[in-house]
Amino acid sequence: MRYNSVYLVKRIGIALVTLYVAVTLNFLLPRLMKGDPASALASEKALGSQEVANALKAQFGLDNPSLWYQYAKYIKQLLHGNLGVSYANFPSPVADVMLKALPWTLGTVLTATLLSYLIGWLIGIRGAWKPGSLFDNSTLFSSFFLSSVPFFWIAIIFIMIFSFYLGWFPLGQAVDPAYDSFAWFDKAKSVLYHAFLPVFTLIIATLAGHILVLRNNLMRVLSEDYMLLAKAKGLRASRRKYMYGARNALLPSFTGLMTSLGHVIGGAITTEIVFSYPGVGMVTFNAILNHDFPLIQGSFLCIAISVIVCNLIADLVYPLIDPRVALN
Amino acid sequence: MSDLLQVRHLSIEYASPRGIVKAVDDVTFSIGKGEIFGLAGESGCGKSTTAFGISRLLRHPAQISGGSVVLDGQELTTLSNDEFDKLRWSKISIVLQSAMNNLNPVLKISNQLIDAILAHDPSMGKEARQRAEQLMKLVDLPVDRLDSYPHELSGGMRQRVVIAMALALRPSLVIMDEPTTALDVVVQNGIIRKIVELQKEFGFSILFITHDLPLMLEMCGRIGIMYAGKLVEVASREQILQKPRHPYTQGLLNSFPSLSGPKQRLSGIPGHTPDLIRPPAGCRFCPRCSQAIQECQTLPPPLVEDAGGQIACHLYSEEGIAREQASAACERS
Amino acid sequence: MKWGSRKTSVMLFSALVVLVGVLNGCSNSSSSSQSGTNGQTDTASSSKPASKGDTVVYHLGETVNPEQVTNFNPFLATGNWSPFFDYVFDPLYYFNPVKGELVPRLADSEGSWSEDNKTYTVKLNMEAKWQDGTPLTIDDVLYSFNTLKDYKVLDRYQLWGEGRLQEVTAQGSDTVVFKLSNTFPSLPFYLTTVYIVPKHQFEKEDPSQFLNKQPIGTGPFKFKSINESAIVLDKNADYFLGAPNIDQLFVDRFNNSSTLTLALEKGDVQGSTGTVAMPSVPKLLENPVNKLQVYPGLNTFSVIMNNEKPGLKDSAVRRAIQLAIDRKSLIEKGESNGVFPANPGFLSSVFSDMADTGLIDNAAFAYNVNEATKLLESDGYKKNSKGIYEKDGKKLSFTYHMAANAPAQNKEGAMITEWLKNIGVETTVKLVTWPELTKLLMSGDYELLQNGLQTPPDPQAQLEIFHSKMTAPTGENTPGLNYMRFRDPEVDQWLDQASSADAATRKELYQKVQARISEQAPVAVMYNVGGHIPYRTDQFTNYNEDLPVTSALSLMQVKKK
Repeated sequence: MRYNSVYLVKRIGIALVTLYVAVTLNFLLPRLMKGDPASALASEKALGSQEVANALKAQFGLDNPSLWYQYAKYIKQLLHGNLGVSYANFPSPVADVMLKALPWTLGTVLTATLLSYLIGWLIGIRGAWKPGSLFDNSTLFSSFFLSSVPFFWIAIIFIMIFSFYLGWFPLGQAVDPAYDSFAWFDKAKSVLYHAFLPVFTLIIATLAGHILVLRNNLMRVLSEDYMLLAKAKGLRASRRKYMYGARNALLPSFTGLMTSLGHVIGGAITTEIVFSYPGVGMVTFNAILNHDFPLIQGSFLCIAISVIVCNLIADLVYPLIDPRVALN
Repeated sequence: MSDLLQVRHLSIEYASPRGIVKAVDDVTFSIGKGEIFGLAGESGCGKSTTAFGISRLLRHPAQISGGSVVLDGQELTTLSNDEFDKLRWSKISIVLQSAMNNLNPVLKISNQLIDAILAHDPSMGKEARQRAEQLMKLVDLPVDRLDSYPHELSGGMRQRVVIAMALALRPSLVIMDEPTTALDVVVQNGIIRKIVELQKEFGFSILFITHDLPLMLEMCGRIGIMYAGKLVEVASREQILQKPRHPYTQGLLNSFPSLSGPKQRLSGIPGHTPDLIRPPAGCRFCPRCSQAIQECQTLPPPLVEDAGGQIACHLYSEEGIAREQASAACERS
Repeated sequence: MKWGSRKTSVMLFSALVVLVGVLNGCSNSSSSSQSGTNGQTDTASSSKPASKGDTVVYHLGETVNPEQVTNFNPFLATGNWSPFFDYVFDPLYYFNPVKGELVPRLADSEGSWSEDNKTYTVKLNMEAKWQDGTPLTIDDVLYSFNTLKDYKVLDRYQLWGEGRLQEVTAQGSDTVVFKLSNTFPSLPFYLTTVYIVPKHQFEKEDPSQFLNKQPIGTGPFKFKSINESAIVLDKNADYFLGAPNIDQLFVDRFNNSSTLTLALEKGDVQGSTGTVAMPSVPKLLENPVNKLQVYPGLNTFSVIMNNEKPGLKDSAVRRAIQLAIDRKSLIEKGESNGVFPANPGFLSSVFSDMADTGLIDNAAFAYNVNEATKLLESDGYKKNSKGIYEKDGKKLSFTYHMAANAPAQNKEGAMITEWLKNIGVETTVKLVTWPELTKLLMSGDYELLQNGLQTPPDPQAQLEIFHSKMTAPTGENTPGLNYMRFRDPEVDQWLDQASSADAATRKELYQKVQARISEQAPVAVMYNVGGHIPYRTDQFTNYNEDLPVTSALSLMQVKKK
């Protein structure tokens, strides 16, 4: 085993401490927003009726204004896996609201992230291997262009071209409106059909960075002596490209990949707005606009946990792929 | 001694924004079977380029622009890439400058020793591991180090691995490009001894490249001196030590202190190397030569083979010998 | 296999193309219920006439967020989407903002007042049936009203408040009697806010918590199912006012108005209940099949002023601000003519017989920069070196709060602050979220604030925004909507009188109130938001344009061409 227990304990310990700090900050931040959600809701929907406001406050657990009391309750609930109850979606628990949106986010953002890295890496490798070739020049040019263009612009262009004018894809949404009456097979098709454009757009928008980074890294690696030696040894081009070249060039990108994976749970708010997609990004966004403290907390907490866990995994996995990293 | 390698009129050039750089210009020499041949010269003179040209390891945009390379009777320059790959490592292998990045940092030593073997004979399988162990023993390294990664070995150990690796397929020619430059002298000594020992045992030829002339004089039987892309002198070790003929060779010898003997003030060679895109019309060394005669400015001296070896200097042509005392000093351009 | 070779790239690409083609082809054939065609905006020629076997589906589009479909309980103030109840349930009366009148639904006809005006009797249309087959009974009606009494938290319009409902009883099996503790002429308007629910379903639950996931109403449409993309409603073939002509009503859900508008342009949806990206409207209307129905309503966007703050205490300053705003320009440039002119006297033109609509175009309260500066100067204000008016060392400089993340609001706010600068009033803009705006209004922690003031469908309630009982000093939360901290004893008196007066007297008193409001300008009105309903006429016809065209009563008579 490459690790010693000290390393493991230290890494996990740090993760836990970070988690605790995140949890606490998570509690404090929404409360810095001015505005008591109960009164706001009452004022909006019930002519400011004091009774309605008080009833809502009781429902939201805001009747005891003491911050410590709320904090203690929050931590206690958290330890029981209870993320609280959403104000705007009352009485749906936060966990339910998140779980409803999560599959849509994971299905699109996770897939898109993985594919984007994979495709970007493959293109970058191919470009660096034969720099100056037609392939390299064209992909480089497109990468520079794409990386300087804002994502929502790409998304809107795609919708206009593919959905509005060509009609190849729907304008948005996650499923066909008549979804409920479909057979399971048609349901699956509907989901995939609606997910295609958001995933495609996400991939195109994030591809450029991965291509450029890996291309650069690989070109740097190719100038190392061991690449020359590998060629001198008469090794097959594929072995040199992947076991010698890419294997080294990918190391710095690995942490980037893990970080991106950590953020997947945050959803992709721009994608979700442009494509009317019911992911976690929209949930969080609306929660912020509604001053829905528990939902904001729940969402940020999920993101924090996800990022911390992915970082921990990165910490633990990286020494396995790069033998030079010291473990203690 | 029959010739293993014959290099005839080899020229290597590459395009740069300012023009074509003639990195190696019309170089001719031979290496015999079992011979240790050295190629010396200052940085940028073209010795490494020559070696890479011979072993088809030139990096784009450098390319061979003329000449022939014959190894064991086979013309190398006309072979296809696939045909040449078959020769790689089995006929010609290479040992590069000792630095961390000689070895792939993410692969175990065993892996790197074995993949060369497997590339040429995929059926080796388990035997490959045994062969790797043998190779480690050859260079006096403990066999358990096979499962280590490069960064876990010291510089000297890594260089031993690289040498062992170079011998994996028992090549006829091993090119060694500054193999001990980055090591301290004690370790360097050990490595050199080992190389010499292995060479005696297996009888392969070595093309040894370094700018460390004293080291070369110790190791190599014959030495070629390069200057500004041209081969200016080739002679035996003894010849060079006792009677260096080319003014540049003389200057080089005067630049190194002797370990024993009286302390002398070192005289270097004043001036700097010429521009390889527009080299001087005549002898390339002329601007810095204290013995230049009139022809040197306008006529490039041909490489002449004679009893003492090869020499490219007007002083040793018939007329030159007659005019040994040159009076005209050339101005720097 | 050689990994990075051209062969694999070609293979992957072709696989992708094939996948797309398959999905595209398959999905188009299975969504036979889509009434729109792909990509063409001129769909008139390509629609098929409805034949006996086809299901006629009407696609409505709206921005419906997940938190708006948490419950289908008409009692709850939050967690639902209010137009839903219009389709599935019936109130006794429906308030039609287009005409400003009450339309009987569960009520058989207009109700009648007793001599002393303290009792209101309504006869019901007993042909009504619940969507589960059981007939409507008088108990359901009584239950629906008494629930508001029993659960104060649900009585958001305070029907059971002081001086209002005392008792709701049955008279026979088809008439309901409302007994009031005091005269309350606005009662019929308030009856429109209560949807009648089935007692047999609700009595088993706590109405203040019940989510009602399988709602049963008496309305023209039945709830069928809901998913992330739509709410699906079937026609109620047994609807007592006549079965709808369409078989299914889909409410296609979007989360932003731009995609919704695209769907309208493309013909994927036939209309919305009001959401549309206003800047796209002119282009939308270039296509003759698209129409926009605009009518006044109950929400008046205004520059709300805290009348207790220094500077704003002066009615001259407030009037100057009122005169500095070019309302016509706001409506044209800010809202693309999708809203109604506002009444400086505040009463919305929805209440056509009560509102003093003459005030709307009255030059005394219209855009006039010269008049504004004259007012300030005659009140003793002088321009300082920076061009800002000052009096007694205090300059007219105010914070201006408005909603963040609201482009139309921000555009209008920019126009307004620029106009204010023209009359020498300085502003510091602050952007906050909508709930924060409400909080600031309630506590009075603001000076100028741009927001809408929304009231129930009752002219009395609308004007009572200016009653001192609806306010509290700055620093305390207001009990009602008088965020302005406006206090005028005469206005209070007139409103108190009007609350129990007869129609003619009311009208007179309201005129007085509106005149006073215009002169005192506690708010500077911007425009009145009622409805701006986009709808298509290429596939469906027979919209009832005397009602909001996509409301339940109109949609039930809509026919496929």
